[in-house]
Amino acid sequence: MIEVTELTKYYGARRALDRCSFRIGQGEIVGLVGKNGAGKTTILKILSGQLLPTEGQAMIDGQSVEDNSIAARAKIGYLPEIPPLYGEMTVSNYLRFACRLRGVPSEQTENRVIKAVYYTGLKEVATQRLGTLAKGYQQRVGIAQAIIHSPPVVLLDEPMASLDPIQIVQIRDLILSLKNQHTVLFSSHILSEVTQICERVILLDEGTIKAQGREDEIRSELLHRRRLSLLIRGTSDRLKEVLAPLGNIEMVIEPFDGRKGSELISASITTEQDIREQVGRMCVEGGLGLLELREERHGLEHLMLQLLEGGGSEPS
Amino acid sequence: MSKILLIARREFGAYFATFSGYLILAAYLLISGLLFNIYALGREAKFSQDVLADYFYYSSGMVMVAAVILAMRLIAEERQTHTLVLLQTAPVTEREVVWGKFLSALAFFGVLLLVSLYLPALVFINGKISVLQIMTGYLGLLLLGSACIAIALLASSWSQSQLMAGTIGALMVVLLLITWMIARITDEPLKGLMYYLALHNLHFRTFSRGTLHFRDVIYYCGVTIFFLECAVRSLESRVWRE
Repeated sequence: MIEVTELTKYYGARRALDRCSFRIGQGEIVGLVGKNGAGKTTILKILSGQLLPTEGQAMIDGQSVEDNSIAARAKIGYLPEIPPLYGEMTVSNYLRFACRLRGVPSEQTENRVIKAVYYTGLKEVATQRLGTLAKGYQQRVGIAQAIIHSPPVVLLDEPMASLDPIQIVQIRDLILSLKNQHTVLFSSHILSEVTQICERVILLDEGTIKAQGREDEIRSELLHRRRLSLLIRGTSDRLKEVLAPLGNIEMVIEPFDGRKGSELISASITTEQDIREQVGRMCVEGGLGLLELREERHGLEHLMLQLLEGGGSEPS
Repeated sequence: MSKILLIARREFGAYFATFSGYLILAAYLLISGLLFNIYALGREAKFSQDVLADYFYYSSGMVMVAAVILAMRLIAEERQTHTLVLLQTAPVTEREVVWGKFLSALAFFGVLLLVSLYLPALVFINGKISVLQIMTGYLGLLLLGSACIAIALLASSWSQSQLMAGTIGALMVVLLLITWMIARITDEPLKGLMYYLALHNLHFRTFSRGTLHFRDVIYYCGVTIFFLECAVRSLESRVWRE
């Protein structure tokens, strides 16, 4: 339903997204999680047709958001971080307008408005002006306008930001009720918030997708991964040869400081076991100058912990 | 077309849902009335058709100011209140958004002109005037207002705030007003072009005298469409500009 391929976005010289790819199937609820500035809003803005990607492609139900923007927009419902509400309109008039704007025939409009009002619990404020509503109700109206035309895809940008705990529970239940009828992609900077709703999580950090999958999968993968950092005097070929007995390991070797012809190389090894002793012994016995060997705590683990604790600070 | 009318209807309702619409109406009527009494009627005796011509001349200034005030909010306000995103993410083209907003401002402007009709009608009490002159004069005001709304709408599509949109819109209108002055110190062929481009001098005076020239109607329609299309391009460019 949503297909994102190698999506890259630059704001001037700043890279906001770097080759992000993911797929979301019909009826799935997926959470985009990341700290402030991770690129969540940029992805949602591209998917909703507000921004063009610098590179890559985004498709909504088979329609390219770049080449067939109008057709792609017809398939989405979008709630931005600040709900787009006309303060002078009443709730039902606003929903009527949003419904017609999305191309729903006039004879179906009333029915859709009644359903959306009922579904989002807005009955008691239906005749009230939007400008006079409390934040929680405004958010509900925002969700109502996003689903009123029954779009296959619903995009929600930080739908629970700045809500009180009771409102969060209400909005969470509302999003959960969208499951199966709509494909939902929503962003948040608090992982626990997302994992209560989503089957799948896409973890973003500084514009790149660091991990995606079920929360428990990501967590166990991250907690079992170790990264060894080496500084060696020798050649990369020799290092590969010396460490060959370790079998199939994930290793990245590059010249130290990025200088070509340097006699120092740095290597980064990702494994699931603690192989520090073995690597140290093999390097020394293999005649390589072992200048440094240390285990780095996985950056993502920090990120996960921060997100779990809600330490992502303000939403992006 | 239905999307254009939908946007226009909502926007038109917004003028009356707040005090701003009534305030603009009241201010326009008050100042028009004063100008009518002070300058159009004046103290010395005048032919009725001159009274009417003067009325349209002074009203044209009011019309330009009112048009800029009406249009400056159209897109800039949506940016300020974060509602533009609703239109940007709906299956609506930028052309539909711009024309919808333009029509709403033009409709409100039409109401403005309609309620001011009693002023020239007052001339009937002591004078004799042609209804055709009133109609032609009002058509001129409508066309001039339409061009100014389109200019201010373009300024609004560029701006983050209404104040900024109003300032830029007013500057653009003034610039187009004074091109006939620039024409005086310019050589041909630029001179002719500058004279032709002037928003008021060459094209509006004929309307106020009750004469309808097709070329003037074409000019105002051309200016309106040109600036509206520029606004469409300006909105379209937002997706690749950021």
